[in-house]
Amino acid sequence: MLTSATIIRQAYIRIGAWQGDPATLNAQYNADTDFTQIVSESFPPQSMWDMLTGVENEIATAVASNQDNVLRSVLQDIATVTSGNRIPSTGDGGGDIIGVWGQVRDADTGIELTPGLHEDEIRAVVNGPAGLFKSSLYSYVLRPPRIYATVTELEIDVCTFDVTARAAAIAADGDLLFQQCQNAYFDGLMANLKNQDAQYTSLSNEYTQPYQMWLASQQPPRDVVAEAAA
Amino acid sequence: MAQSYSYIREQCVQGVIRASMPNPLPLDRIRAIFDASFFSINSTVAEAFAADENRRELLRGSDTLTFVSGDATLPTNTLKKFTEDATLSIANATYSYRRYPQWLMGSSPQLGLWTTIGETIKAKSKIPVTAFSGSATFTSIKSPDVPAAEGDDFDAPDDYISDFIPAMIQYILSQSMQEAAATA
Repeated sequence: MLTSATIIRQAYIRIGAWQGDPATLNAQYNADTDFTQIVSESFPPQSMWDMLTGVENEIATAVASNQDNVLRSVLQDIATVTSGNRIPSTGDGGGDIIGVWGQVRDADTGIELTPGLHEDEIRAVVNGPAGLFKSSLYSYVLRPPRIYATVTELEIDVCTFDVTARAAAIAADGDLLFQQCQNAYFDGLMANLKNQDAQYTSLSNEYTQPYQMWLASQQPPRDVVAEAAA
Repeated sequence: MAQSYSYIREQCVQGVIRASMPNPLPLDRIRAIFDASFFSINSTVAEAFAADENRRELLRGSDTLTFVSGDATLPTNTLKKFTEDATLSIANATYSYRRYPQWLMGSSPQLGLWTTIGETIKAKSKIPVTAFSGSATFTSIKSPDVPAAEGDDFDAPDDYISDFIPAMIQYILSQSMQEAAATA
């Protein structure tokens, strides 16, 4: 499994922070997940864990910002709300909602709701004379800070990121969320290794562009036809 | 063959979507307009349908009314434009009732009389005149009953439904065109 130590020890190798007997370095490299062999005044282990949490948060936000990104499944959660409630900021699992929503559904039937009606129309449907609107209507509208719908209970497909939980998992050498994105984590961490030391900054800058390109690649492909038409 | 409210609605929905391509109206908006305008379109189509004497009888229907002191409430879906085609019959009556619009002046030694004033039907006996009280069958040209729920049948003649659907599609499209013009 891809854990936080896999990324951080690579970064320490790059900046030459690993101290130890060369003959046993490989064993130490594999075993020292607390980084007791590390000597770095610039980037102690806690700073690496903190930065890696930030990198994972950036990766998660990039993924969550594209409704079609298959990696969203890693972040998926449901936010259950009642029509008229405030637009949710956390999923039912407690994590903070990030990126764009997926589908909005009737919590009772699972039927998808669409933003097909204006808020005034929804008000008329919900509060109109009994028996006038016979059709089953499935629409919602956002009227920040609240959400209104033609059904009472809604469930929203959301992506969430729990910073506190992830920081704890990363500090404990836990599994990273995106197992297939090792280089993105590594590039992201390296891109953060900047301080007043010009050598660190120069090294870090080499990783900034590939990291930014990876983040950008998570966005939907450009619709050049629509752009040309506009 | 009677078709359900929702069955007819979806035929209208498909018609509106096809006609409004490439920017179809949202499904729920079409359905909401359909619901909200069903009563008025039903009345409009019924009047046009009944104007054809060959088809008017297809819309004839009966209601049992209760008269109190000569007054009963006119059924809501009776087409007033065709009141002259209506009849009032009273079970076990020994004489008939006929419509007589000149109400205040009228009385008859052989017939009971009835007429409509606004939403009220008035009936009185033959001479000596008394205001009728009791149960009577009122048969009139009516718009088909609006179903109570979307799964209920719309009990209308086949010929009527084939008039109703294009009229409803046209109405919904006209609403959307007004909306588009207002926001342009």
